Amino acid sequence: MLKTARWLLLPLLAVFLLLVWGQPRSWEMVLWALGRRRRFRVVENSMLPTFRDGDEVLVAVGEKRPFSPGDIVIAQHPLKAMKMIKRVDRVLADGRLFLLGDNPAESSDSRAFGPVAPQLIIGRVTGKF
Amino acid sequence: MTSITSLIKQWFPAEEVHAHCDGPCGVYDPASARIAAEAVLSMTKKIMALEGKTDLQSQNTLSRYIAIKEEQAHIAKTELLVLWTDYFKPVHLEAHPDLHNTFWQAAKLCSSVKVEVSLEHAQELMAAIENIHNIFWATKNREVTYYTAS
Repeated sequence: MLKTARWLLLPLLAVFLLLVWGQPRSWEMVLWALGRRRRFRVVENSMLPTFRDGDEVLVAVGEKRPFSPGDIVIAQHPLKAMKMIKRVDRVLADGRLFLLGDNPAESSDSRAFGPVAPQLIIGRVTGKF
Repeated sequence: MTSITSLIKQWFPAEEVHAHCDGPCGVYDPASARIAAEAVLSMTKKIMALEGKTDLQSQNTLSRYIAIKEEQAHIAKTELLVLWTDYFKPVHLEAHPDLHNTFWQAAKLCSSVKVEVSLEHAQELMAAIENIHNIFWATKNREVTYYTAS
């Protein structure tokens, strides 16, 4: 039984590697498969043109590296029970992050609710799923 | 690859994150204010054309024109205030420092054209809305040519 499983597993692994290899996001997919990335689904339009409503993103959770301007992050909304996706515009001297949507006309962000404490940041977006 | 991920997305949708905007978002256009202001301009002209006529039919028509002018002037003001308070954000002020004054003056013109029969003020209101049209579309980095219906 164990032997057949292994014979099945090896070709399956080979097919998987063939499909995965050569794709620019393959390493991200491997990290996701290993549980190092979390998937989130973007709803609404404040991250246009980078992400559209319905796009899924991969997120590195619990990284040690500090956030820097330009990073796209998933954050807990400071005033509502809602997770949001925004881009880091700048990092203030006290470590709080000023977050903006890529589509400022259709975004509620730090312009409305102020800078966000780093403890509210859930993770950094590493790419599209 | 793409089909595998799309199947995963379909069968196991991920947790939602909001690329959000407060309110039912996004649909703003100074055109709604412009249409109301055009109606005010048109009614002002029609009211002036009835000057001196005392027959019953003319008076009835005059009343209707006045009612429409009142209503449309109020709509124009409301539409402008919604744009001003809901669409425009502090960042827009950096590029358009005169924004608050522009809207204040335009809203005041809506009051003037409602109270008066003033061709001059009605035309000034149209000019103010054209200016707001240009500012609005500049903030969206889109070139939208201003036009009027009449």
